[in-house]
Amino acid sequence: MIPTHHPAPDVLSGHSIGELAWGESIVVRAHLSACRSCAANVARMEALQGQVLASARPSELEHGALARTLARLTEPPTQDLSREPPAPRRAPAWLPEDLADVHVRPRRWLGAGLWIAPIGERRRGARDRTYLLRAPAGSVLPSHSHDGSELLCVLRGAFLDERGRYSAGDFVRFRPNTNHRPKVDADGECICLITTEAPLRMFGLVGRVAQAITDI
Amino acid sequence: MGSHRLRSRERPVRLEASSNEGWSRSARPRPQVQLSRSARRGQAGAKEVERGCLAVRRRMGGERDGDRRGRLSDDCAMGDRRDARSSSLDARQESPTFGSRPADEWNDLIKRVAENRDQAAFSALFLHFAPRLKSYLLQRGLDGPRSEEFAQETLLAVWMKASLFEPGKSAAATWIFTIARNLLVDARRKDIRAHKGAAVLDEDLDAPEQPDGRLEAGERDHHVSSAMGALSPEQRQVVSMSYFHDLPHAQISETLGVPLGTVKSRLRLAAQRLRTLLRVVR
Repeated sequence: MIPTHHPAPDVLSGHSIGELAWGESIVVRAHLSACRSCAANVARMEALQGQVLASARPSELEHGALARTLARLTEPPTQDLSREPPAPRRAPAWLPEDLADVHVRPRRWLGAGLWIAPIGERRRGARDRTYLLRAPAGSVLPSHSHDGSELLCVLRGAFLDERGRYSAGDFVRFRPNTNHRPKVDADGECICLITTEAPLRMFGLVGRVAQAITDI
Repeated sequence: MGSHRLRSRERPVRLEASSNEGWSRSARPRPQVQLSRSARRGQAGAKEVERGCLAVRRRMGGERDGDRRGRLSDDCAMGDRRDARSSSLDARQESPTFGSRPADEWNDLIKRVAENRDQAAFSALFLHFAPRLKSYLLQRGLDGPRSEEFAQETLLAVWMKASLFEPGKSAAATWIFTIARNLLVDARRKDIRAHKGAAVLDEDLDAPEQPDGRLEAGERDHHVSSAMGALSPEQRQVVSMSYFHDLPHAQISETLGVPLGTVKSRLRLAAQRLRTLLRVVR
């Protein structure tokens, strides 16, 4: 299916040159894996940056830079040796292959069929949140607002809010201080990849508790 | 394939723009000779010497660029240089040269790194791309030490990811740019996790799911209220102050006259309890 909601040009170019936040670039990547035309645009912008790089005037490196890097080639990887490697799990079909390098943490259940799974490591003091959200068919999510912007890509199913209907592959940017109350289609679950710049402002008791126990 | 064609068509446009800087030269300048000549002039005013040096600097920097630009913009004239590499016109258009080597050669070097773990090939890539990455990153506003660090880290990543390079998909320089870009984006997070090439899932996202069912808003409210009711009065108090009134921990501590650590531990225990309760109550 061809997505109908796409990132604005500034989001695509921001992604291409690496100026988006980490979570934002993950959500854009999810859309790119579903949208050939945006992917082609990004590929073109990347090729331009490749040209800029290729034609850059060389700067002098620190003395011994090559030797130091060569010495590191044969070093065993330092990370994750202390930790037991996690058992490989089969990624569900709706998780884009392009998101091959993300770490999906355990789900936190909010009720029947409703969960969020945070993405990436928890960082002290960070305000941005990136997570998968799964909501059952026909559910209505708590009304909420955003202090910062929210980027979202639908991975499976569809939902409706005050502004329109979004289905698999669609990309949405909610501007700061927009208030919305998404409703999932009646005929199937909806799974979204979401990143927020700042914690959500939940309205109502349910939203507040949900936020408190899920850290979104 | 379609997108690739588009990309290659875009290149000359970009290069036209850079040609405005006047680096294009049919014959390669000899910077040293130029320098000594302007120095020999002796009587020339400081301004003129300065202008001379600037021109030399520009030509030194532009030598490779001019060479490459010439090849791209003047397809026929450069055809002879490229015949050795390729006979198809299409392939020629998609093989611009970077620096003094044709693009194919960078591809080969990356392939040698991937297949033979060839350190000599890696060194050639490093010596070409790391200094350019450093300039590129400096231009992007990174400071000297960070640019140096990222240039080296990028080449290290080239060593590790060489087998993922697809020459048909993007030019070597583009691929290396995307590696640097991804490192930049990752570095904005405090912790950089090594790319493993596979999603790390802490649990199976499709499996044991709770029995599906719609949770009406009223029903959910009820569950949440009863979960709140199951907390101890002390816990309920801190939860209400913190979650519902957005009071900072320090202020809660002050208002209740209990130590900050106690406020935090009560909140933590309350959140744990709520989590458990809401999972059970459904």
